[in-house]
Amino acid sequence: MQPSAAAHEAEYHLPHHFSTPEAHNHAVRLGMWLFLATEILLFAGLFVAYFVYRGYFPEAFIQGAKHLDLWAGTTNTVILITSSLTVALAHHYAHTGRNRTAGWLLLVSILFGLVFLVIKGIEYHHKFQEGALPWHYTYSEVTVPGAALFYTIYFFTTGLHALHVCIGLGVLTWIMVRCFKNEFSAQYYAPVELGGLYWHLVDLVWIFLYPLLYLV
Amino acid sequence: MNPSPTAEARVFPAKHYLNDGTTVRSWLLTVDHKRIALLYLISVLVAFALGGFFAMLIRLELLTPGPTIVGPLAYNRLFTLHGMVMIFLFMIPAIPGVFGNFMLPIMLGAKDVAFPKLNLLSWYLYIIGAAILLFGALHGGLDTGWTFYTPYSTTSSTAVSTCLLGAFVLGFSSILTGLNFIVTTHTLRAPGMGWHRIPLFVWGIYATSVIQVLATPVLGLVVLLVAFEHAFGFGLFDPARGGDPILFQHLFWFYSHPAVYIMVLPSMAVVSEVVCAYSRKNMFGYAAVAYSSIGIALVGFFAWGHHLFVSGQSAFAAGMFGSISMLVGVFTAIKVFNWVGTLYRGSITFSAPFAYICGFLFFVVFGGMTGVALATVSLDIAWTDTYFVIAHFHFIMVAATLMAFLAGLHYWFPKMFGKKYPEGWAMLASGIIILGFAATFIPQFLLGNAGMPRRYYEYPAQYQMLNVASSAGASLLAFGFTLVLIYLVIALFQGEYADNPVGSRGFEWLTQSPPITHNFETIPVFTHGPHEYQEVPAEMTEPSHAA
Amino acid sequence: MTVHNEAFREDIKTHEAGAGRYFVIYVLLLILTFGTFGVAKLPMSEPMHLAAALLIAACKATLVVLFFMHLLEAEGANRAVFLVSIFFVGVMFFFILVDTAHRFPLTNPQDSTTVNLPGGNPVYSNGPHDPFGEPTPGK
Repeated sequence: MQPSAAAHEAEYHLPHHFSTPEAHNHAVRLGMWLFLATEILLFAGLFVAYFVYRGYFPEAFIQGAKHLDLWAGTTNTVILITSSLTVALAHHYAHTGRNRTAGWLLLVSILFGLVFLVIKGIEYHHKFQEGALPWHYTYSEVTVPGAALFYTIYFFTTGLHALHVCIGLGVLTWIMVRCFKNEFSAQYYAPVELGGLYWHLVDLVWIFLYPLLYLV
Repeated sequence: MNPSPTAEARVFPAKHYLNDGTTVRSWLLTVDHKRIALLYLISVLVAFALGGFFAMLIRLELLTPGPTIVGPLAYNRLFTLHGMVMIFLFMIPAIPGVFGNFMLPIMLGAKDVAFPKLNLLSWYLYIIGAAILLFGALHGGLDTGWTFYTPYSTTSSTAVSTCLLGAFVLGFSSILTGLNFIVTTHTLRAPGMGWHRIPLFVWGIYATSVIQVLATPVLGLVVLLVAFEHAFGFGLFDPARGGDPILFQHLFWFYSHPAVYIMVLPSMAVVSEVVCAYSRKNMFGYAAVAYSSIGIALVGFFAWGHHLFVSGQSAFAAGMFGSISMLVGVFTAIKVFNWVGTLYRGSITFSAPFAYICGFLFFVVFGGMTGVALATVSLDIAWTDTYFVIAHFHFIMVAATLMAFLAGLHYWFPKMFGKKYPEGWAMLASGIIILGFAATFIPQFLLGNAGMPRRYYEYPAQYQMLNVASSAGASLLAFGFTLVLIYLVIALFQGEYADNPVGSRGFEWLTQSPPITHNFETIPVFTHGPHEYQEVPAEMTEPSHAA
Repeated sequence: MTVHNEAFREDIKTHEAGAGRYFVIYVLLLILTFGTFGVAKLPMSEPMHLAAALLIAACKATLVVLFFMHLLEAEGANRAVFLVSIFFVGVMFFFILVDTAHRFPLTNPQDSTTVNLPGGNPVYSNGPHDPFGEPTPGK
């Protein structure tokens, strides 16, 4: 079964230019937060575009929100929040050396993420069928001025977010594999923490996207 | 008083980073920050030559009022290429990529940057992004100007999406470099190096890195938006479908104005080092210079709307942006006063780097003042899109950044290669470059004030004399740069050995020149700040303290 | 003289808390999610809906950042990075939205229904040499 954590610490060796493992940990964490800052700024521009066009065409945004699949958005929100929980738990167990528990939790998170993408795909499919496409807008339900712009914003924000979900799933998969290879311990758990941070950011963006696109 | 740290260092070191592995693979797969710095050096010099080539074609075209060597469409592609190559492939990566990479870890007493492999990735992203950008611009063509304003860029039939993809990749390179430097500064300082002992070069690079991390993602976003709109017809910036082109300009300049500080802060960082070393004095006000770097980085983020004065932006916003833009002058002035205060009563080593610093100081004050003038909304309405604006930013970019780059290249040539450059030739070249620069760009201020618009391949006949003067100056400038390249390459192979020829007490001189691969056998312990010339600090005479 | 230098820390962070607190946060997040869903159904003015939605989203985000992402117990540098990024997001929002709100009405996209605040372009509005005649308000 699972050997004790102490037997597998040979995987981690301190890079020569760092003084202690703690310094190395601090560095990779800071690096990850800096990267998250870039992601925050990336999405911020899209939110600005949302509010600018909402200011110009408020009715289009209200009507557009009403015609989105609310069940899909709400379910996806719950899914992402739950997957955030499982990822946070995975980090918790990884750094106490319980790699298998962490691995299973990560698997659950990944499955949630996949469900999110499937639901998103169904939503997009609906839009394609309805003709609510920015480059060729023929959706008859929402015809107020600026409707195509609402859907442009919708596709762009959810599309970029979905891309980040995909990347996050890749990262989580890689970490999960390493969990099942029993690589993490109290001394070395940084990849789980960093991957978790990235996934939480993906959740954060959706926390704002959901009400802005679906509810108001 | 013997300034060099080790008395035995009189012959070229036997082991150093240049001969630690001589295969092509050891260079292309290196994780040594110094080798990566040299990879960047070669790349940015090639880029500079390319951008300069386009500049010469532009100046040739502008020799006569009518068409000279190209037609209007080709001319549009020329200035677009010149701008894109110079900004994205030279100005932004040059000083951080070359000197930041080489010097920052050594100055902090570290053995490498925080993430060496990420550092190498940054360089490869630079190369890949450059290849995509150049392929698109040369193969499909790009005629939107480097600013690719909508709706022209989203409807143009040129290779907009390809070039923007290249810019996107380049943005990643920039972000990763900045991220690496910030983490290195926070986590790899040697014992005794508190934040108040960090060399001013590091402060400047740190401020630059903060801008790179915060601003570049917005460029990434706007590039994606335009590329998608161009490729798929999204309509986000299409006025006919309710889009707002001014929103594009806001998002674009939110990055691109801080980007000019990405270009200029590293040059100021170099100047801080050279000023201290060549006047053998500590910086007049260390804290003032350090914090003004952060100040410029901060204020630079609040000023972008001064590029939108005539775009249709509200007058209210224009007023805000114009006023805030002037604050940058305050921080720049603080730096200039401190540099001059350092030089005053210093023990000057008059040489090429010092000549470049003189040029820098003189021209950055002029360029900066014209910037404050341009920030005045009422004046800018007359000067917008004229050669006045072009002259302003070339004063900063060429006179300031490029001259600082050359100063750093000469000051640190012995550090990087252990060789001396020929001082006589260097002085001559610096004189030619300073004169050539003045001859090129002072006429452009006059042209812009007289109303000659930018990005036009022809102009009314009354502007010809000044244009010819500018083109002549450009030729002189090109000659000066070629001279520098020639004697530096010769010095690389035939120069005599030198380790700290000016006796600088900057921390990078604590290791041998050229440094060993891991910079230090044992990490030094710092008890003083850098550039202490009054008394010799312990670490400068006994460098082998254990960590 | 030793100088504090975060490169030489020796402390190992030990999380003494159990896994339970993550579940508590999770439940709070679910409550807030259904809360925002419910609030959206209440009859309120449109700006109030927007404000309420943003407020609840901000609360959820705070919970995720502080507890799931451990920012509450993180080093100062990480916290500074996050807060600075939020600050500059705010800067972006502020200046762009202030500009959009004060545009000269004729520069608005066609068919848009926005009402601009005063301070657009005094050169062209109601001056004696107004090249557009009477400016059309609102459209």
